[in-house]
Amino acid sequence: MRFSLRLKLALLSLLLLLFPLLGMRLNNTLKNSLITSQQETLSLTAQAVSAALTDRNDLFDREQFHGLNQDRDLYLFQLSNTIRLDGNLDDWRPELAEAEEFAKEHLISSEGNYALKSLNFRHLAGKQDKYLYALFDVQDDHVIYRSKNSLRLDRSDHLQIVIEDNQSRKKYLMTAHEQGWVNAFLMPDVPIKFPVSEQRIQGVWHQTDRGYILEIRIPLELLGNKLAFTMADVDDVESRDIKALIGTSNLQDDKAPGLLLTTSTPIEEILKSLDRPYARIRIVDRNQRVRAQVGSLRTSEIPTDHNNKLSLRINELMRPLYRFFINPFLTEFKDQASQPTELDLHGIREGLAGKHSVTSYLMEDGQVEVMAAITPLYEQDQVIGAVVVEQTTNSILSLSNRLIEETISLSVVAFLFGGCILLFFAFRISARIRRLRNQAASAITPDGRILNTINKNSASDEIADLGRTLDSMLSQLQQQIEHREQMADNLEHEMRTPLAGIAASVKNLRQEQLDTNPSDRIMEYIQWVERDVQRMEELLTSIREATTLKNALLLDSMELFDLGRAVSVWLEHGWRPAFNKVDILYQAPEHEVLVNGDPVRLRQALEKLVENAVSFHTPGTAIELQLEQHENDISLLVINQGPIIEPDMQQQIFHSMISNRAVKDKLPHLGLGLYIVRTVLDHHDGRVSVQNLSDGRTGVFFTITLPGVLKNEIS
Amino acid sequence: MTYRIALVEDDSRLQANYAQALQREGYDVATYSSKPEAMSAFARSLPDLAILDVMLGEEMAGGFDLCQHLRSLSPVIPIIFLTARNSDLDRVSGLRLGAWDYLTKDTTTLDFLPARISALFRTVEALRSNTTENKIIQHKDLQIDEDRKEVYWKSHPISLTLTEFWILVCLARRPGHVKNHEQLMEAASVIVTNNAIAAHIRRIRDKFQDVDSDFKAIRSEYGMGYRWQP
Repeated sequence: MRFSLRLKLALLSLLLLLFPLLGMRLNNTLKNSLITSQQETLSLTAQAVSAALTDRNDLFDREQFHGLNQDRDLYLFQLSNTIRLDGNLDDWRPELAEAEEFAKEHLISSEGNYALKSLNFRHLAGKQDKYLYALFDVQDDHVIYRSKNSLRLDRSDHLQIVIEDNQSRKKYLMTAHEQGWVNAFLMPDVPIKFPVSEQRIQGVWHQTDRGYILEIRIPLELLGNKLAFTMADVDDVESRDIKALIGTSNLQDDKAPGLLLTTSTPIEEILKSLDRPYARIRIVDRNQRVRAQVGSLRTSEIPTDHNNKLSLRINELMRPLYRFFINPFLTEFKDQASQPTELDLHGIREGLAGKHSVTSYLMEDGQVEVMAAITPLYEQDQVIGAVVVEQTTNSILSLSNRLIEETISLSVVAFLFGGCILLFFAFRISARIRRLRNQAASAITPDGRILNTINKNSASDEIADLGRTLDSMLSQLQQQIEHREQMADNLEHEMRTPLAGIAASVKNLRQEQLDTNPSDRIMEYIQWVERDVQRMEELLTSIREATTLKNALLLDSMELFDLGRAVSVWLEHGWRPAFNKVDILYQAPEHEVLVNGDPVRLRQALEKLVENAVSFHTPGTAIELQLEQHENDISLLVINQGPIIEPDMQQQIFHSMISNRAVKDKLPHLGLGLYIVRTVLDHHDGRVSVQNLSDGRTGVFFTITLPGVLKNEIS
Repeated sequence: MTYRIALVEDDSRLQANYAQALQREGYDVATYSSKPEAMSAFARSLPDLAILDVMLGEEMAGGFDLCQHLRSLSPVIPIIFLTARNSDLDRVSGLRLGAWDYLTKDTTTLDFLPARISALFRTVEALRSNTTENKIIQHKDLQIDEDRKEVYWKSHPISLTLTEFWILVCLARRPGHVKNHEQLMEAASVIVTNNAIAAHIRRIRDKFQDVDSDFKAIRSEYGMGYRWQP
C-alpha cells in the first residue's frame, strides 16, 4: 500500500488525541485533590462544630443528652407525610421502616409464659405539625374489646400512656368497644375518681388479620419531656385479666418513663449560626439518634458560563459525546429522612468511641455520593455524641464534569482545528511536492527535450531548495546539451577551413601532377586523399545540417499537402531505389491525409527514420510504414524488426550526438539523424517517440504525430 | 586581356591554393589577407572581379564591409563571396549587397570556381555589349535575359545571385516539368545537399514575393523536386 505523506500527517494529527487523555488525567488528579480537600474541609467543619458545642453542659442537660436509655427513650421522628388516623399504614412511610419491634425484651409483666403471637407490636412515634403521632401495629391472637357494659377501661386490650414533665405525671388509657375512633381517658391519681375523657388524645383502632392497628395523636402541648407507652394484652373474654404488658418504659418498678427525645432546637440554632452551605450537619447522641440537624445535601446548580450562544451550541452538539466520559449525578433528590432517625453510618460507632473519620456512602441508587465527616462530641472528656457533617460530592462532580466537558470540547475543537491545519499543511506540502514531481517529470519531454518547467520558488524551505536544485540540475543539463551542440557546430566550422585547404591543395597537386605525367600510384594516392576528404566533408555537412536546422527551419515555408500521397512518391522515387535490398511496405490511405508543413523537411525526417529502420532491421524482414488519420492528429509509424531499445534510452536517442548503434554500415553516424527528426517534428508542432514492438515480434516502431488539418481550415 | 582578380582570404594556405588554381586558369590574382590591406589596394586600383571571404580574421562580417566599399567604388564589379558558413548565404542573399555569387569553402570549391568566374565575366561582357540578340526566356509574367543575368517579374527586376539565377532558368525553361534536386544542382554548378537546394528555392521565392506577394509560380513536388507553374 502506498503510504502517502498526506496519510502520514493525518495519522500524526491523531497525536492531538493526547489532549483529551491529558485532560482526563488532569481531571482525575484534580478530582482527587478536590475530594481530599473536601474531606479535609468536612473534617474541619465537623471539628469546628464539635468545638463549638463542647462543654455546653447546660445545653446538653437541657437537651437530654445524658443518662440515655435506649430501651426507654422515645424518639420522635419528624414525619414526612401527613398522617391520617385511618388504620392504614401507608402514610407512615418512609419512617415506617424505622419502627421498633416491641416483644419479649420489653416485657413488663406477664401472666404465665409470654407467647410472641399473643402480644408484640411495631411502634413508631413522630412529630407532625402540632401533634405527636404514634403507631402501634399489634400482633394479638385474641383481640379483646372493652365490654359495652363495663366501666373499667383496663379489662380489655388497651394502651397506656404516661406523660411526665417536671411537675407532674399523667396516665392515660386508650381502649375500644369496637373498631373505629377512640379517645384517651385521663386516669385519676387516686383510684376513687373516674377516668376523664381526654378528647384531645385521639386515635383509630383498626382490626387486622394479625391483631389490630392503633394510630393515635397527642397534641404537643400535652407532652412533657418524658413519655412512655405500654400495651396491655387481654386474651380471656371471661376473666379479662391483663395477660401481658409490653412497654417502652417499665413503669411497674416505679421508674420514670423514658425521655421523649426529639431534635433539639437550641442546638440547631447554634448549628445554623455556623452556616455551612450545601452541607448537612447532624448531631447524634450516644444511641446514634439524630438530635439536631441543619442544612441540606441539596446543591444548587453550579452556574455554567453558557451565556454565549456558541458555547451553548457546542455544548448541545457535544452532549452525546460527553455522556461517555462524565459521571452522571442527581442534583434533584430527596434529602434522606430529614427527620430525626437513628444514624447508622460506617464510622459512626468509631466516632462515638472517640475517633475522627471521613466516610462516604451512596444514595438514590448510587446516583448521589455523600461524603460524611464524623467527629466525636465531648463533654468533660466523655463522648456524648458525634457530629456528622455531610456533603454530596455533586459540586466536585459537576466541577469535574465541567472540566471534562471543556476538555472534550477543547480537544474536539483542537482536533478539528489542529487536524484541519495539519491536513491543510499536509495537502500543501504534498501538493508542492507533487507539483515539483510533475514539473520534474515534464521537464524532459518524451522525445527527450529539456523544457525547464520548474518554477523557481522563493520560499526558503527544503522543498523550494529541492526545486532550485532540480532547476539548476536541469539548467546545467541544458547547458551541457547546448554546449555539446555548440561544440559540434564550432568543430564543424573550424574543421571546414583546413579541410577546404586540404581539398584545394590536393586539387592543385592533381593539376600539377597531370602536367608532369604522374605515376599511377601517385594519382591513386591523390584519389584516396580526395575520397577521404569527401567523406570528412559529408560528416561535417551532416553535423551542419543538424546544428543549423533550427535556424533554417524558421525560414522554411509551410504548405498544405497530402502526406499519404507524398509518402508514396518519396517511397517510389527515393527510398525504394536507395534501399533496394529491403522491402518497404506501405498502404497509401484512400483519402487525402492533409498536413501543413514543409514537404522537404518532413521528407528529410521520414528519410532518417527509414534509414534508421533499414540499418537496424533484421535481414529478410520488411519495414512497414503505417499512416493513420485520427480525429485531431495524424500518426505515421515506421516499424522494423530487429534489436529493441532499452526504455531508458527511448528518450535519449533523440538528443544530438547520441547513437545507439552497434551496427556499422557505410553511412556516417553521429547520432544526429533522430535529433534532426525531432527538431523537424518540433517545428511542425508534432511529436516523435519510439517504443518496442509488443505484438510478439521483436523490434521497434517510431511514431510521428502531426497535427491534422480540418477540411474546413483549407481556404 | 588578362582579368585581374582580387582574392581576400585570411587563411594563407587556402589563399595560396586558390591563387594557384586561378593563375593556372590564366587569371592575374592579387591576394590580400585582411580588410584594411584590401581597402588600401582597392583605393589604388580596382580589380576586374573580387573574391571575398566573409570572415576576415576577427571580423565576422569583414567581407560584407569590403563588398559595400567596392560597390561604392564601382557598381558593376562582379563579387563572389567565399564562406564557411551556410548561414552566411542567407545574409549574402538578404543584404542585397550586389554580390553576384557566393561559394562555400568546401572540397568542391575549386571544381566550380573557374566556371563561375568565367560566367560572371561573360555577363559583364554582355552588359557592356548592349546587343539585343540576347537569349531571352519569356514566359507570361517572367522575363529572363540569360546573358545579362537579368530577371523581370511583371516588369519588376528581380536581383538574383548566380546560383539562384541558374536554378530559376533551369525551372523556367520547361514550365510544368518537375526538376529534382540533382538536376537543379547540376544546373547551378554546385554540389550541395537537398536542403541547400531547398534554401535556394526559398530565397528565390522570397525575392519574387518581395515584388509580388501572390507569387506562387514555383511549386514543390512533395519535397522531391520543383516545377515552374505560373
